[in-house]
Amino acid sequence: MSLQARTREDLLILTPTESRLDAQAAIGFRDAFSQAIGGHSGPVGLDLGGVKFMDSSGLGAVVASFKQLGAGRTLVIFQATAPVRKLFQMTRIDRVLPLVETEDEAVARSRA
Amino acid sequence: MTPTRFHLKAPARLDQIRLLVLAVRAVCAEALGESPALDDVELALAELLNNAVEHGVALDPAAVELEVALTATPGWAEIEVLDAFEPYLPAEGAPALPDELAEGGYGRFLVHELMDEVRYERRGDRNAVVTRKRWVVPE
Repeated sequence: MSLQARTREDLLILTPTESRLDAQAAIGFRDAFSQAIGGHSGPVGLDLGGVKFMDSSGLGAVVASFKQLGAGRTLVIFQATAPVRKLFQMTRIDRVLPLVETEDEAVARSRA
Repeated sequence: MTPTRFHLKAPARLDQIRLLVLAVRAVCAEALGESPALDDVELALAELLNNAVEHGVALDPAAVELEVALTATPGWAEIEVLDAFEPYLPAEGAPALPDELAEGGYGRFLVHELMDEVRYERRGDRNAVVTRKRWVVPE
């Protein structure tokens, strides 16, 4: 699992390059996230539009990555597919890590 | 309709779990039709198989086989997961959701949320989890 990185305003946008964020990919995701945020102190956006499947190992990797950002930093998740959105809702992670629909909304949320 | 039976065995490795899950999803779609239940079964099966491997870490996972049996009948998918790891029979009933922002511990909770029936058995020297999912094909 690797992550493509780009910036829009202050938001560092990370996009997984694989469509499955499962137990096999979770460790790679954490490593890639850790590497990608090095040197960036602002908010981070996670574009999950291409992730068609995520299990609780993948979810755990996202949660761990959020914790790694530390207090006061924002992680905005956007474009989550229906199965991924359902996973966040069932586990109630969406109450702590809100999901927004579009990149524009993610940018706006990161400014808040 | 004659039940569709599908049986797979694979080494208890994470890369094999992905293949097992994809295979069962494809057979469910073929036998029962496209349905939102496909996503639920895919996730529940992944959680069951991940749990089996996780609870078997004391052994050499690669030396242990995972077995998945699917029986598709009209309106239902029954999926059994068997492993030969050490006995693991969790308490019956739906487990609670882990604490907020936990990084793990969601597996059994999700299985109970996603599937209509879940039961755990010990069969000889193997653990068995038997799950059933009602299958509704949208018109």
